[in-house]
Amino acid sequence: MNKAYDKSTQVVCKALDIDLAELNDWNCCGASAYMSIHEMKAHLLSARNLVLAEKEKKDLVVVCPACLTTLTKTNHYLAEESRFKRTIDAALKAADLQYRGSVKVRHLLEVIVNEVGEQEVKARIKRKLAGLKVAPYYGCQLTRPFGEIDDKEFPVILDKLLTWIGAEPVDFPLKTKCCGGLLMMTNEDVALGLNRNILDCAKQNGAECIITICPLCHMNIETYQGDVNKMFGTDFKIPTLYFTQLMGLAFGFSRKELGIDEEMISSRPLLEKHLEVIG
Amino acid sequence: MDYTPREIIAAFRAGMLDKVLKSNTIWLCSSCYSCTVRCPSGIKLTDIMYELKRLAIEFGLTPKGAKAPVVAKLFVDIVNEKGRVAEVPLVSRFMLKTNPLGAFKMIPRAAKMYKRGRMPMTSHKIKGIAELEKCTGAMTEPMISGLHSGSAKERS
Repeated sequence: MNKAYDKSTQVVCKALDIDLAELNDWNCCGASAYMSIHEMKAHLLSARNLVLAEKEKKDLVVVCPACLTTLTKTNHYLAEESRFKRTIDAALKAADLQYRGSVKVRHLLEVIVNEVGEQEVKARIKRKLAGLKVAPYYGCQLTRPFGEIDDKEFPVILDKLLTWIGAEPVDFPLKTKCCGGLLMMTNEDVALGLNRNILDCAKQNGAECIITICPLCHMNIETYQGDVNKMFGTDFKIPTLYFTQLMGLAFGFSRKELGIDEEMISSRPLLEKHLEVIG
Repeated sequence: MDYTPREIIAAFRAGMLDKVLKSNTIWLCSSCYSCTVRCPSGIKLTDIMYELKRLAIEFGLTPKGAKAPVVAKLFVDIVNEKGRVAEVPLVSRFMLKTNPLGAFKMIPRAAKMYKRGRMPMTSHKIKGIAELEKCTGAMTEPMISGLHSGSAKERS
């Protein structure tokens, strides 16, 4: 349901010379759902992915904060000798697997900002995003609970990247408020309320577009925007893009290559207004 | 939300865990970790919420009609089966179990998504599914004896 994120991620990483290779035979991280039913088995799902990444001798980079949180949690817990570690190690051994603890789990956003850096990003800009006001929506699990990437409630890392590519991030106090995640499926009214607040905040601060770094946030904010309007009598029509899609546009790639036009709320009029080719 | 997070901790301390396990509160938790990062006492409430969810299921105390445990169990079934989540089976099985008529309401959105190429029509089974089963088969979940909070990490 998020080919756009995959497509735009691949395009941007190639442009930035980030050697991104899909982890061979990765399994689901379990997110919050699996952990709600089984604890150790959920950690084992993460552990297997860590084993696979260790075999490749590469950093494990994800674009989903839920994956980031579950993998990081397991990785942290396995860093110390404990009954937890002995249990997981024994379970891995049953399939001749072993994790030596060398993998670093990272979100692509952090890799781009901290490792690729401003100069390299700016060097690839071919289009100006002339005055495009964006609300940088981080969602809840990029910076929580660990706060390793940035401030836990008011991070600026995405804001920074957005200014590098020529957009104008607006003030956005609800930048890390939860979109409800799976609640949209199980308790739709509650989740619609949460999204209404986020959309309202973005609109009130002058955002013309919301930028996300999480596929589930994108789904809730974008695909269910019509349902928010139906429930609350609002009239939000805020296009929502992945940060990699906006980067790709700034780098000169086409809408098709970036999976734009797959969304429910068209970004076409907005982008036509703001995109200028440089030179 | 029938009990606030503070009330949940208070219920623990008052030995009223059964009330908490029957509550809707724990299933409304979306794991946003706001409570965990703000708690002045350093309580990892989100991890406690996960434990309460597991306990509620283990003791069969989930509230009637609660949908979150249903989706979580289906999620687990699909991951155990394929190694990855397949959204279409997840959503369709979920709707059939909880709200078959509601499935009709989803059709317009689903059709729109299909038109835009956003409906995954096939699902993938990982090669390592047997490997995963070997690992999980070799492991037992910690059985609950007595009342305690926190994750397996804290217990070890």
